[in-house]
Amino acid sequence: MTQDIGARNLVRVFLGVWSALGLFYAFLMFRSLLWSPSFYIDHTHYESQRPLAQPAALALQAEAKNKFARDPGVRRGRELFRREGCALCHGLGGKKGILSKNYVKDRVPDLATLAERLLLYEPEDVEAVLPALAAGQSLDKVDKLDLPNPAPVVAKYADARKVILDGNPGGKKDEKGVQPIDMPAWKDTLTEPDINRIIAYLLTLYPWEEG
Amino acid sequence: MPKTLAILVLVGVTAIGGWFVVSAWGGGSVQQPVAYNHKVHIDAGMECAACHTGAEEGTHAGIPTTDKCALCHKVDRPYPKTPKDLAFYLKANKEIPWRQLHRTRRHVYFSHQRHVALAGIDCEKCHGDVKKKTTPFDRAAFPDRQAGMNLCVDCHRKEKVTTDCMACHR
Amino acid sequence: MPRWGMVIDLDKCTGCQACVVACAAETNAPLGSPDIAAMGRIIRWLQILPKIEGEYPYITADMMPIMCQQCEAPACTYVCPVAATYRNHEGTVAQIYWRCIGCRYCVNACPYTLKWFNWWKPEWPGETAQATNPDVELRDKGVTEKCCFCHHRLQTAKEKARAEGRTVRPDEYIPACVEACATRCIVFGDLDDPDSEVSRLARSPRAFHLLEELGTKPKVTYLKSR
Repeated sequence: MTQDIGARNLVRVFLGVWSALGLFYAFLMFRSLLWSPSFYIDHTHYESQRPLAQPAALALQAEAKNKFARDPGVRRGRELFRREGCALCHGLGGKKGILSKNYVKDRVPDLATLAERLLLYEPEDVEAVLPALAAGQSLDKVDKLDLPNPAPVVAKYADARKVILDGNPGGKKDEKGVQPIDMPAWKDTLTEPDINRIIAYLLTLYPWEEG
Repeated sequence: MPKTLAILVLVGVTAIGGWFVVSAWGGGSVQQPVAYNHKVHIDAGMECAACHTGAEEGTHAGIPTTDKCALCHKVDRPYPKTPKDLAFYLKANKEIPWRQLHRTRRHVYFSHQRHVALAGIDCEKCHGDVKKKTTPFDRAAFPDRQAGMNLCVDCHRKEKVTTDCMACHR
Repeated sequence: MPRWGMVIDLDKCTGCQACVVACAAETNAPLGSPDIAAMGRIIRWLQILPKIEGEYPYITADMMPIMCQQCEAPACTYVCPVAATYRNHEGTVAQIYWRCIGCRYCVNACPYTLKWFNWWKPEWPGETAQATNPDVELRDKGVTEKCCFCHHRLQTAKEKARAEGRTVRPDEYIPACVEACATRCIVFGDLDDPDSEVSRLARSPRAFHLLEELGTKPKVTYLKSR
């Protein structure tokens, strides 16, 4: 070891700087490997291995397979049902309404069973009224309906349409209690053809397989 | 004189830097205009996608407009109870200026339809336990508050779904 | 597993450049300016390369639409230091703008010179900003871009197909240039499907590839004009 302090310090500085740089470089290499997407990109094509009939997607696929689903009038009805907020109280598939305090039926009516309430007990009955409704036509304006007994069906349809147009205050379970949630009036927001399309959509929701 | 100046500058810089650190540390929480209570509405039976309509079919889930609140909340009725901040907006017929918290970055393509409708992931997996939330969201609700790529890629690898960069970055 | 490829029939191509315009519109190509054009730096992912033989006025011309050849052995991916460009499992060569560091190794490496570097910040003045395609990212200064066979259209097609429980149909994923071609000379599809039109045409005796001797194995096949 030399006695020259200056030289010794110079060597120390030299080694210090280079080792610091070297350590930093090693750190960068470590980090770059860690972050490299090459390790994350998995080249297995999982998509071709997954079954197409995934449980969650089945709901969407069942809707797509429902033979009425492609009708543009029914689709508009579906879009309106969600966009205007009907789904907020009546549920997305019309399956389960929300709880309403002091309401006679406890829950806001579910609409998937609308076909039954309109006295359409068979899929063929729904098919008879659907084309007119999906086109926006009111059933009481149609000349001839392919049903065995059209008059009560049209009457029930007119009742449903009235409820949508004019609204309906919720029936109180306990007279002295609070007023439950009312059905709002839609005559200022929705046109009659649109209301017919919504009814058409609701008629397609009936769970025929479950009986 | 230079010494006091130096000290002043140092203190000033520390104060400003400290303010930044503390405000970020607080989590950058935001105040929503209306104290919306998710629990009460979910307990009544409302579904996520009924209000956040894009969640099942679109890329962005969206926040509902104020007219949806007005369907049930009437200012003069005791039920459903209309809190004062909501009543203000309803009476003034103004849109509630919600502060959007969950926002995908521009360079990311995230489709809610793919994750909610097609994969069947429950909203709570990413957005946290919304059923119990009685106060509005004041910060993005991802687990551990990370909304970086780690969250997405971890789940993708675990569920054996594509980890191709092009799937999310167009 | 699909492997996306293209066949371009040079006998049918008239050089009308509808595909160039469609591509520029679909992919938010930076508008550029006359100065940038004078420097030869206008970015168009798809361009028409005229191949002219003979002396005027007795010339035979081939108009060749060229875009990223989506090679099976892409030279650009081998040189990228950050894996911003790589070949994915469906054969499409990806370009991830947000990973790119702008070193331009890939631009240099591509033998077809079909990778484009943003030397300037792309600008969409006034109302042109509203005309950009929201499905395609807007690039920034300092990143490289290239044709990716309109991958965003594939994403949309896949989602739709998944929602209906089936695989993507051949007519659902069509890049913008294929859609716009007036003579239908560009054919696009799955090269791994032996029955698809693309596979059939790619096996035609008139088929050739650009710079085949380099071994890049491009997935864009050209059919010699008769």
